[in-house]
Amino acid sequence: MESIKTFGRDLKYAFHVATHPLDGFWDLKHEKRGKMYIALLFLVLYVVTDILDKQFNNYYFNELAVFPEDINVVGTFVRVALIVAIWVAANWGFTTLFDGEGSMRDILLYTGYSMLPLVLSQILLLPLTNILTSNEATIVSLVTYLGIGWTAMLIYTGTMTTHQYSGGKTFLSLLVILLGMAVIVFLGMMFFYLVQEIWNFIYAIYRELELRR
Amino acid sequence: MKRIVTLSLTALLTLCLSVTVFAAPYRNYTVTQSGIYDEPQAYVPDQVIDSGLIGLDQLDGKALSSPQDIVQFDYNGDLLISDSGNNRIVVLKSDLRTVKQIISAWNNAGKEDGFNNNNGMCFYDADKLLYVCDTGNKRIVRFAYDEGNDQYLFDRTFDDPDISKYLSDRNENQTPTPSATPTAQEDVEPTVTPVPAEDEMTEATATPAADTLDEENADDTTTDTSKTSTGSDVTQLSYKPMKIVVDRSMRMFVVSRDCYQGLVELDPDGVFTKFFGATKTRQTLSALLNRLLTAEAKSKRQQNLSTEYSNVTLDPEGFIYGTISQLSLEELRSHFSSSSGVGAALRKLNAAGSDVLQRQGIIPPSGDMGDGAERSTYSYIADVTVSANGLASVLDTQKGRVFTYTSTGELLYVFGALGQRPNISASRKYTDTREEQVGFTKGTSLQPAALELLSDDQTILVLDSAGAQITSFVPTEYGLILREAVNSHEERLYDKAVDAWNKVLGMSSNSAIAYRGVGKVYYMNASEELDSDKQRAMYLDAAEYFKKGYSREEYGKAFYQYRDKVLENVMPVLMTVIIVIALGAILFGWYKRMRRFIKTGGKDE
Repeated sequence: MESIKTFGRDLKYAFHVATHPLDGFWDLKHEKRGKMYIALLFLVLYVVTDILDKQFNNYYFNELAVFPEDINVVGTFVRVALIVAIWVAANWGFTTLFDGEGSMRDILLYTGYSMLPLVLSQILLLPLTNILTSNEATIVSLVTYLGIGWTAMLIYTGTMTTHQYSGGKTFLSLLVILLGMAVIVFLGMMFFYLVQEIWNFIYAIYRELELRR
Repeated sequence: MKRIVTLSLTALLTLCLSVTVFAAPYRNYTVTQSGIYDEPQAYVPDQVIDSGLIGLDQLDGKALSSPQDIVQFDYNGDLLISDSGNNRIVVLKSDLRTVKQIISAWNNAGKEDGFNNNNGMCFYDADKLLYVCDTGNKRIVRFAYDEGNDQYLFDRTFDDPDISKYLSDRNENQTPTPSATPTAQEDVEPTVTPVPAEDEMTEATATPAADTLDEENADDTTTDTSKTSTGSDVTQLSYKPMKIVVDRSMRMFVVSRDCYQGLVELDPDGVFTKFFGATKTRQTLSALLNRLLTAEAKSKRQQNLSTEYSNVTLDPEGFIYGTISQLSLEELRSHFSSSSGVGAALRKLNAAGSDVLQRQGIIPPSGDMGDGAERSTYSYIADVTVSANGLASVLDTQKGRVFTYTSTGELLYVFGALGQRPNISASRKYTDTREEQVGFTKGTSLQPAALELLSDDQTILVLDSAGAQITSFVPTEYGLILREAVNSHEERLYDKAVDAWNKVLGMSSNSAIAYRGVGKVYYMNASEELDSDKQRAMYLDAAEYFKKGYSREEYGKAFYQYRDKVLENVMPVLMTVIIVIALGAILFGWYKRMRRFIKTGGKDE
């Protein structure tokens, strides 16, 4: 009973963060009011609602509805997890160098809390697309863009508050972080390629030895 | 025992399958959002008509040599072959076996006259006239069918209208200064006058291609379309009539090679009227810039030219269908991604010369959608033929395929393939046995050049120019049912159409066009249904069929109607509930205020 109450309070606080981002994100870090499980829950919910949207949104708004075999549940999970991991790493790596005050935990925390509007919009789209029709398509896109825009705003505010940056610096650092993510992806791919090459090399030697024995 | 039955059944089935598979050396396929799917064969090759079969050797010993066009005379079923290599026209009787006449020389005002590399032909059915493009002599030759002799007799020629003269006129008209008009008045007839012979043919004005109001204005709206190339080129442009079509008011529309201004429109006396239906080019930044440049600067820039037509034909309603072959990769790529009229390989022209072809299919009716990187993966459309119900078949010379589209531009079926030249040197000497002469597979062409729909409205002839033969293709059972479905729909026999579509689905369960066809009929029936419960269910059915047919827009419409009907049912209840709740809330508020009022004894604090 007590745990349900705490959960309710934590959830309510997430809404407070979404509606009062400057105040909310400050308390999230400095007053220790942010809970990691809530952040992770939102990330998981994002994936779940995304898949539900692809599966059950009305065909008119969702071409995938006729090709359900193209929806990859595990793939979506892995992709989102990877993107979040790279985002956190790049974010932390850059901001630590430039007087950012947030730890990796803080970054993950504010990222998760920022997902709330996106999750809500995706949940809202589920009944909405099945009630609305082509005439009201603007409402659907409004909800979609509102969710994305709000989450982007939250990420921006979260970065600003957590790292104690000014507005302009936040904007610049976000650009650099995106660049850094691209670099990490590139390095990662190169790493895998090289590992594969090394593996092939070792395997070739092994084959050679095996054949000449 | 059971096993034997199953085995023999399987054997029978494989036999049937193998028969259908090997009946034609090509695939029939359909395109959906998720890729290309095979469909049952809709058309199979029926017979191959070549010089040996029609007995040309017995007549004059000259075999067909790179024939360029075929046309059937609907009046008596004669098939005419434009035998360009021999400068003659071979007329076959309607059995497509026996030669009736060979048109090669005639008496023109006392002089012996003949063709020089004759190409396209067309008939003016009302007066039984045959028009032939005499490309080498830069003229159109007209023949009249003489019923008594059952012969085509020379009638008259339409000589070179000197189109380059009008090209320069046009350029002057386009310059912004209004003082250019007096110079244009000196030679009045060409660009300004409508059609002089219009009054003679007043009964024809009701036909779409005879509606000539505001032609110049209409032309101007598509103006950046007909950009002329540099000034010097204009004067060099010569008249090379390749293909021709004659509309119901006897105006001629001629495809002149290297003429980027569209079709050359000639009045019934062969006088130049105007350029007609120039193809649209892509609106690029440099094209916009061109508008701001002076004439000299323009002449120095390379221009974004329209593409010339490769062929024209007249559909039974009087619209002119034109094909465009030499499209660039960029044009085709943008055309296939936007389904717009720019870069289209098939156009349907109305009286004003603008394109009115519907392109509602998943891909536009311009042949194969290539990979976006190689021009050769797209089609080169060289000819078109249109059936009574608007089924347009186009010929792709690149792959030897014939694509057939519905009147709304959806792909119905594909047949035909390129063949290989037989490796026998003697193959050019024909003999009586067809197998020896035709070394390549039946149903393929070496170099397809022309297409003709016979007057039975279903047999399609493909003329092979290099192979010097004609292959006729006839519909299979599947093709017949498919055609019946489309035709019944066009003729508004909707119950028949649904039956046929369901039969199509029985043969090809993935046929998106069949699902869409059923959906359309259900949708239409639903709108006429009076019982609202039934109507709702029918709209939902229609929506389901549209979904299976991958037709998002139509699905949206059907779903909208369904939602509307549901709302109609739910609304009274919903509104009642809302009103009751609202009233309850108001009453409750009053009640609370009342109680407070009583409690406080009337003092408001």
